[in-house]
Amino acid sequence: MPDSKNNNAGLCKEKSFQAFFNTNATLLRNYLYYKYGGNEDIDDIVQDSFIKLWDNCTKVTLETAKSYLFRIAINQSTSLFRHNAVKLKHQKEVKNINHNSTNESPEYILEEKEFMVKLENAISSLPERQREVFLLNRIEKKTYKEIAELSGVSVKAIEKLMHKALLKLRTEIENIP
Amino acid sequence: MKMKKLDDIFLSRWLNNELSEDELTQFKASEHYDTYVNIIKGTDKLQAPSYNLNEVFLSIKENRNKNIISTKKSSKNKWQLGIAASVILLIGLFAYINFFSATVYSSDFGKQLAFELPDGSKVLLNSKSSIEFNERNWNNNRTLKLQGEAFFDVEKGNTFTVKTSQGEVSVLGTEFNVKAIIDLFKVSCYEGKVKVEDYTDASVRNLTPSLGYQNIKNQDAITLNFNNTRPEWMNQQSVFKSTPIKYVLRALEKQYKLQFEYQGFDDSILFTGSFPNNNKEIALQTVLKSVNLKYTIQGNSIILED
Repeated sequence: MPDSKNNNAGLCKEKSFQAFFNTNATLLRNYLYYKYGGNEDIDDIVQDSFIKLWDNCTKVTLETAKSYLFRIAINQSTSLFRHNAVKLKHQKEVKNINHNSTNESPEYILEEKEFMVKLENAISSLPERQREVFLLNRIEKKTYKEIAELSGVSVKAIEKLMHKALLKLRTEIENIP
Repeated sequence: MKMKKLDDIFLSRWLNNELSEDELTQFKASEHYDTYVNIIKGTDKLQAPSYNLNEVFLSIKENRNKNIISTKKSSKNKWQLGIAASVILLIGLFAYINFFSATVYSSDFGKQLAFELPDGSKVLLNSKSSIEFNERNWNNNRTLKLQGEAFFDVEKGNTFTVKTSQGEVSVLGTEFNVKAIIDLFKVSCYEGKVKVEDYTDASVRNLTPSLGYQNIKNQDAITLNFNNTRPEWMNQQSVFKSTPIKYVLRALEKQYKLQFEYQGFDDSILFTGSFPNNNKEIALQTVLKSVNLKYTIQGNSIILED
């Protein structure tokens, strides 16, 4: 077997660290993005967290590295984003990628566009925990169990957050004329 | 029957298809059901802005090297003890990691990597790609994560699933190729039957031999017909059909460890053709001349001019 089988090489080697980075970086970045909105500081936090993890690679096993990484990132961001809470409300959460042309009527397309705007606003106005759970499940396709593991809470708690998020989105959308 | 009967997590259970038939009928009858369906449909069209992993990793490496302070300790006297201790630790660690953690295979620039999964299924990784799976639990859960491109020859057994950031592919026993690079997602079926779930438009398709599926961001998803019996990259060729040139440049970068630098030229123009995977000069010429670009080579950087 070639040397790229690195499940016992630990995290310190560049190759294995990069593989770990490649599988986890986008998720961590999106996790923070869903939670805190599009703030440039997010990218710094992601980088710093990976650097810290690498520096501590001897103390962390591959098994625990993911939760360690998320803990560093979450700790770093809570202190930082308290100041940005208001500013974030006005920031666009997610971008619409559905530019595919369809055979639908112009009215339908317009209606759909209006709905998407409402939806994006409603998502932005969700409390951060609900938004994080909702988008991780819908966009990142993470199961409730996987989300629970990321944030260190029970599956039940995630199910409740998910339910609340949907409930809130529905009332927001139905109450806008 | 009133809504009261539904519990305080029924929306979560609904998303997971965990509602009983009665609950589902009751929920569907409620005035809000359509809004919920629209919310889910709408959200499934959303995506986070793309994220350039290679760039970020390079900058992590740079920043880290700046911060590293030499921490070598002189331990000449204790080295024998040290070796004994680390042998024990290594054995322990090896057993521990082997037991729980994910196995990762990754291929470098321009290299391909062939390996077998625990059930005998064969994987061939194209250059600069990686696969992660749980070796211990493999026979119960044949699910792996792929970044990049790989060819699979799957042994018969329970469902075999390849997850990528853009979609997932599942089969029972067959041969197929999956390519998932940034916002390009392409699956080709060579044998058996393949189910493709595209996360970007939440669609599901079944592919039979000689059929492919391709979804590139901002373009309509298409079904492709082909007649080769193996992906071209296995024959040292990279072949593209109506693919935006930026993905072709990307493939060249991965194959030959290059970096393209360009400004002001439309990188979404479509390219149909191929380049060899074992001759850098010819590969560059073939691709760049076909789109009328001049280029200068500086080390690993290729500077493009109109």
